[in-house]
Amino acid sequence: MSRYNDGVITTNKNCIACNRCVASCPVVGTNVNGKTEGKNCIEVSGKKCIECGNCIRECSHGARDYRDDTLFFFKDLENGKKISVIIDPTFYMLYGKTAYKLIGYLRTIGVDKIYDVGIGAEISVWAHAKYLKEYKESETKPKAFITHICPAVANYAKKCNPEMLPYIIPVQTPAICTAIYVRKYLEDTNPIAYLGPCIAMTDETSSNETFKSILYNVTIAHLMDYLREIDFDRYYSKPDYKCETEGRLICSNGVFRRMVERYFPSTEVFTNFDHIDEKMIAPFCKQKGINEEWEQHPMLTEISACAMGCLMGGGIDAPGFNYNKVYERFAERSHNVYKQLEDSKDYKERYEELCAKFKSLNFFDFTREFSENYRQPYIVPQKAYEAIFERMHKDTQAKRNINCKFCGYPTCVEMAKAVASGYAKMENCIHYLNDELKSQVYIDMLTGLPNMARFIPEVEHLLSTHKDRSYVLGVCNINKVMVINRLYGRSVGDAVLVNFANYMREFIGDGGLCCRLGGGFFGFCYLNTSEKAKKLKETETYDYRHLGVDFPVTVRAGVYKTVPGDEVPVGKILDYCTYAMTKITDRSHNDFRYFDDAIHTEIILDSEITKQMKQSMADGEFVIYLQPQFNHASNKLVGAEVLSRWVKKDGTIISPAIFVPIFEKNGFVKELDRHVWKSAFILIKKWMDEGIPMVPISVNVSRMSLVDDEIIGIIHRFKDEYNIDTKYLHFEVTESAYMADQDAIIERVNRIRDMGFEIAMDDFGTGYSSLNVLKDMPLDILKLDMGFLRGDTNMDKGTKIIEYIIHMANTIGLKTIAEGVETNEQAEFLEQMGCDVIQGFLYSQPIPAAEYELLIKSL
Amino acid sequence: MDRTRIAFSDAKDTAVAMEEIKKTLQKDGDEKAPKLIFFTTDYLNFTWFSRHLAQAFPNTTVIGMSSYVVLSSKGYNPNAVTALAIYSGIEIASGIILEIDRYPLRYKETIRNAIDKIGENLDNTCCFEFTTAFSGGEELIMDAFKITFAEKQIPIFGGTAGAPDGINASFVALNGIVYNDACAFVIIKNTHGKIRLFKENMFKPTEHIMVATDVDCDDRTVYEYNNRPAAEVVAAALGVPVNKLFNYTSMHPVGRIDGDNIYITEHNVVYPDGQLSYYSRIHNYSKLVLLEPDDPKEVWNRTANAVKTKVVNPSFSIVVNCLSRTRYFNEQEIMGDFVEVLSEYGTYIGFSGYGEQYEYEHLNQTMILAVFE
Ligand code: SF4
Ligand code: SF4
Ligand code: SF4
Repeated sequence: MSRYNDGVITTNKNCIACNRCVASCPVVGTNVNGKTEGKNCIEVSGKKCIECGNCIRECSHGARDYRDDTLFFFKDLENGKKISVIIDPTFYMLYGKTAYKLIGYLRTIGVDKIYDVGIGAEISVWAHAKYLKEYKESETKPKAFITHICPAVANYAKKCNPEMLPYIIPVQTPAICTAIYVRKYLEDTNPIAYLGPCIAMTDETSSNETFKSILYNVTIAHLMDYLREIDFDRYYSKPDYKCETEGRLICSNGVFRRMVERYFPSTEVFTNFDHIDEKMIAPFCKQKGINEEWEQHPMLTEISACAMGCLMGGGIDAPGFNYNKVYERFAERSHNVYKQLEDSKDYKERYEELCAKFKSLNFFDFTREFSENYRQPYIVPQKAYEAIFERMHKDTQAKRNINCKFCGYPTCVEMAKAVASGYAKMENCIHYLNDELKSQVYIDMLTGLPNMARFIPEVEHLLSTHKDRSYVLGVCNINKVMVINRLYGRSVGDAVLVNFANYMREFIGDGGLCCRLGGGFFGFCYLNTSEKAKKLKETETYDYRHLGVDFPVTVRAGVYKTVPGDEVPVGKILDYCTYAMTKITDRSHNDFRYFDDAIHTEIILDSEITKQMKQSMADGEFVIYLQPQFNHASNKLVGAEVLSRWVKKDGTIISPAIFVPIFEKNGFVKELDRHVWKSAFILIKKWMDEGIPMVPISVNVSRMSLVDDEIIGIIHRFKDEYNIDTKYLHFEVTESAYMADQDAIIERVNRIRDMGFEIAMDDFGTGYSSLNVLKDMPLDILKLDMGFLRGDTNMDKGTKIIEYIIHMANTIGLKTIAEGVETNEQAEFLEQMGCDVIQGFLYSQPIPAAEYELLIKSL
Repeated sequence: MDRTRIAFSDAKDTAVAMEEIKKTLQKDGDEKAPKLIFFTTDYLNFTWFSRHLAQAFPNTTVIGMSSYVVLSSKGYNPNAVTALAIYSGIEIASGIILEIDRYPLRYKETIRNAIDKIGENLDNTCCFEFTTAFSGGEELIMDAFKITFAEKQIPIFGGTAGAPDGINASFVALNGIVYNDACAFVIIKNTHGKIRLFKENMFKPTEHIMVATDVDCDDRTVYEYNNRPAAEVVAAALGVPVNKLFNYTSMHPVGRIDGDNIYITEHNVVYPDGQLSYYSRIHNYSKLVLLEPDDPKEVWNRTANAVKTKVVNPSFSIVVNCLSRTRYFNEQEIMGDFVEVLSEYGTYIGFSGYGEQYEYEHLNQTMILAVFE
């Protein structure tokens, strides 16, 4: 149900929220943002609306309706009620001769007596003049000088400007004067309907202050709409009491003033306004403090809410309004009226005549009081303005003073005030929408969190404005997002991300920031407090069962604590955090790793290596070593694994244990692979050419080299180029390389195998492969990692597993090689189990190619 | 000569109680009447006592409001009367503001006259005001003072009057005239030292921060927090179903955040369509934090320590303690302990009603304390 639209003026579903009504309304807070059928619209607060009709004229979308008594009027007539009608001069001015046809028709449907409001206009003029001449100002009551001819003006004073009320002459409007006169002096006991252009009359008629002398407000527009099927030409009638004097002209602004003016010396000031504008009215009301020096106000000021007066009232049939015709009629009638009024009398004589004319009337029958229902508006505190401006992206004084009025408010400050009070929505500001659109570029659409481009400068700003504080910055990654997507579908995966983002928002709280970096990666920054640290540690896992995720979801995070005055750039800190995060391997629970000195040293090393690797490769610093493999029973060389060493120019050797993981991260491992393969091809070719006896050697294939088909082309090329016997070269693929995109990897390995090379699975036992899958893999050799047999604990278990693996491998026809064998005991055991090829320090550490060549030459 | 005296009576017979009060406050052999009497009593006897006090002290400014529980350094009781008389060391000017529910600013002349009476030097001056409840006009009154005081910005301190549960009316009085829809105020200049104001929150912030995104400020109603129905958001934060939210709201008011300050706003009605109404206004896009009860004793200690550090020699104090706090302390059976802590602030009179006013803000569920040196 609508929150507003509870008064005389209402908004219908045509509204497109163009804000024109907001701009045209003299009462702030009357036109309020609402929703009709789910779309934004501007509704009307009945509490505040003064029924001036401005918005009806202003709205070009036909979205404003109003309530009057037309339907009740016709219903009561249908039910046989006798009703008398008082007709506003506007009606005659708009319809000319047709007006009499309409009156004729009204008579046929039961309207009894018909009177012109011009009669009451003259009474009202007399009452105004009498008040002005006879009222004595007192201490408590100033002398009023504003006409009371327009109920909307009185509404304005009652609801918005109570300081103005004492200045409104307390007599009834022409319409009410007519009704009172008809009832009391003409003794018409019928209920009275007012036919006119005034929307504000609906409330006026039901008010005790008008003694409810009018029962129905029938507006011209609604009457004409109700009777649109009727052919009036068949009817004709004249009112029972017709006004032929100046009163028939009061529908135009300024006429009432002119009528009263005739009874005062020409030195008195008389003014008139045809709209309501606080700035215009304020100077008359000394209490407003705007024009306190203005000692003397005019004798009389006529104010009507509608431009041109009632002729343009909100309740006229606007589409049928023909300005030229109406003006013609008005000009003709005024000419006739003022011709009659031409005299040589002075104002005193005229006033005497006026009083004589109305001597039978009791002045007090036509006076009234004005109640007040003004509510002082709240002061909007500065902090509320600030909050709104911040939300509206108005972060500079210039942006706070654009004052383009698109929102319907005259200034940005007024608009912010309306937003704070709940009258307006920020979306009504075109500049906000523009800026918001721009800022969306910095927002992650899925979670609504900022993205990295926005996060980094915001964190920089936060840190620089609170240099004395310590903050925690971090990068975290939701583990197994891919698994969630695969198992439950992408929508569930997205829901997990959104839920986690909401959690992050709450966790980070008000003084911090968080963002989505992409995928399951989030960045965060919060004030370093013990409560937060405690909470971070306490949360073991996240439960997303309500989203359908059956297993506990976990997160790993790399975290960096700033120290007051920290100068490390935020981007770099995030890199540190990402690095620290990659150190976490356990994904069974939430885990975080602080960035510390050890990691820092690692990172420095990492970047040094990354910096030098390309040049070192070009300079030939990556040299080939071979680790021989022996048959334990025969003590014979049966093969070797080709490895690389980084031998720097100064002779220092960097171990592959250091540089390979770095190359794996930065992708250079593909270069290294290619270099090693090529070196192996060259060696074999050389040995073949030189007739050196040979055993097969094997080269490693990293996971990265297997991600696309490029590897096939490279090996093909080497094979063609060096034309070696493929039986001398084996390719070793690690178990973990098969994990991702298994089908594609198997396909690629198969193609290498199809070229005639044997394939070994390296490091078997360090991953998660089940033995069952081995039979589906393109494999010839299984290389066992001796990790099972290292350490003191669980030796028994380890030996059992090895025994089982070797047995399995033999069953499916795989050769086995044990690597990392360090003791004779291990070798003996392996031999017993059926694995007789041994690689490890027991026999030889990796040796340079030249040394190896000597070894094979002795074969 | 005593600067202040405090009288308290819980005699059932109002005439007896009045005699006791008079006896304590009228000084033997000393014609000097108190300059100012603050008093409070229960809703039922308020009119009677205010008239009789004004009659008994015709040359004194007598100001008070009806309380939910009457508190003073001499005792506490829901059905009692207490009065604090100040004989010296102050200059005062008082007034009444009417039409508080819609246009208190109309009485700016009354306020201005009172300031003029105190004079140019407004150091160590504070405005104390008591407002009747259920008008929803406290913020308008604060605005009226703010606008009228303009750059003078005298500190303001006050309370909304109280009544027993189930009675939707309350009283304030000035010099024997009782109002059920007005604000009575007195501007006091302490010529003996400073007047220190303190605020005590019995609630601490939770991690749940909400932004009001759809409000009717005039009606003190919030339709949406964080662009979702307000009741839904609060219920989710508290982990309770929306239809049970009402049972939790009094212990989880919201705090309007202003820098390091939190001004408490109490939930009023939870509407079925998800809107929440409040006992003080909330602006659109203001940030609010959901609160939860703190350890009352710890909180009292903190206030006591703050008072000790800031006020070297307290002379007397005025306390306004929210009715909801009083109810809560009664439920927890710690009201006695609370009153004991208050006695550390010297001679005091305590009011208990539907709201508190402090720093031109209208708050709920708070205790405010003015300590005179
Ligand atoms: S003028 Fe007002 S009512 Fe008409 S369409 Fe525009 S916003 Fe809607
Ligand atoms: S009728 Fe007048 S006061 Fe009412 S909403 Fe329209 S413009 Fe505003
Ligand atoms: S910039 Fe926005 S708030 Fe300011 S006047 Fe224009 S539309 Fe209104």
